[in-house]
Amino acid sequence: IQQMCSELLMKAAGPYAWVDGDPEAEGSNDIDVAPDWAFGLAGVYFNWRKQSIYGGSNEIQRNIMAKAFLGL
Amino acid sequence: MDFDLTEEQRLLQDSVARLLTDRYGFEQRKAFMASPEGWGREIWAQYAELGLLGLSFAEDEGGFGGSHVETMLVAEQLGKAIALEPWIPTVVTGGGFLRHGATAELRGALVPQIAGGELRLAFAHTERQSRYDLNDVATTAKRDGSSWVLNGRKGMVVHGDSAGKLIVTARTAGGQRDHKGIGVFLVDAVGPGVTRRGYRTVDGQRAAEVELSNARAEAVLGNPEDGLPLVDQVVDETIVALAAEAVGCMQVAHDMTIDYMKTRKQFDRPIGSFQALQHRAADMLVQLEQARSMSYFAAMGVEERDPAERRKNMASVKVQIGRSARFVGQQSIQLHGGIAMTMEYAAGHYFKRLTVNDGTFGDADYWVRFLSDTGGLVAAA
Repeated sequence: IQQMCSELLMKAAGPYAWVDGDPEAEGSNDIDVAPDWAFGLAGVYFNWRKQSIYGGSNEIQRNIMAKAFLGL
Repeated sequence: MDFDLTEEQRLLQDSVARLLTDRYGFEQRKAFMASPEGWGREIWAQYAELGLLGLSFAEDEGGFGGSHVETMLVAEQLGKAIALEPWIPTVVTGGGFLRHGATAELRGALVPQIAGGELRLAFAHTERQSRYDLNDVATTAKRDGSSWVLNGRKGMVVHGDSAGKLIVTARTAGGQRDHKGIGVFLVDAVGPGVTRRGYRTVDGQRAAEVELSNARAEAVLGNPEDGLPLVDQVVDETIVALAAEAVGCMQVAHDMTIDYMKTRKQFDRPIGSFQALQHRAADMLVQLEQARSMSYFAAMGVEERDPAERRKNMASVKVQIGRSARFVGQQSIQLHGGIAMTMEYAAGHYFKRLTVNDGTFGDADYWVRFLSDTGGLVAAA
């Protein structure tokens, strides 16, 4: 669910999702780069790919469920 | 239908592949990314030598005389290396505007500079409010004597930071979302009234925000009262390159994943021996091959004369490429497990580029919506 949400948020931002980095990092602020809410959306999408991997990947969890709950 | 490449096309494909294999390995790419420009100046010169920078310009204008097939072949190789250089914005998009919208005189002045590697172009079209709609333009252009003066703000201009000239859409008439009244203008990127702020994008490439304050256009491309058809054509041609680039990325992401599955051992066996993962890997192959077919279709379908039919063709391409890219990208990470989460490993870089590629000129969801809004691909019985 988290992965679906992060993907949707990123897609909703459209082109401005692709801006990298911290809005405050650059020196001059003559032109602001992207709407504040768009920053980091892609970063979260990419980073949250780990949710289905760490602590036992989804595939392993399915194996455990099949064995422990379903007796297969 | 002949899908075989000609000898010349095969030679082109091989020479690009060889250059990138020799000079664009993962470590070398990291070095290019860390350079001040964010891409490889030396490699750009190599591209010039191979004729890649003048690829689709006519031979008698200083170009290579390539068709959409050549564009597809080169873009795929660049995708395999996830090359960072502004080839698509300069040669495919910028080149497209010059081929279809510029006078022969203007081309005569610019093509040698582009083909020689001195001049780069960028397409400044997206605005804060426009998202992916090509007709949404608030930037204005007003006649001033014999030229035009532009005012407005363009965003996410891919490789806008290193371009010498910008191709800018601006409204000459009508409301913000009117399809008519959009003009396409050539603007000096370092001229008076043009302010740029460059930044990195999440896939390691570069873009810029561009502010135009009474910036004078150097030239008009196409019809200033009705330039949207020109934009549509060039965007459709750019989709050919984007599709092929995505296929190149997917091929490597897929191959890397299969290699990993054969060598990585867990629970005393290579993980590729687990059936659940084998099915996933087979699904990746299916998605890759479907994308490859649509990439070929793109190179052919873009030549459709009727603009509405051509747009439908390219929309379908974008839908399949986007969906395949998402699946292959996501699964390549999942099947690698933890190792793919570090940017020291190449898989994440391919995934990021596939994601941004999908989101360029409209993602899969955008184009599915377009197809359904315009009546779909097959007429209702």
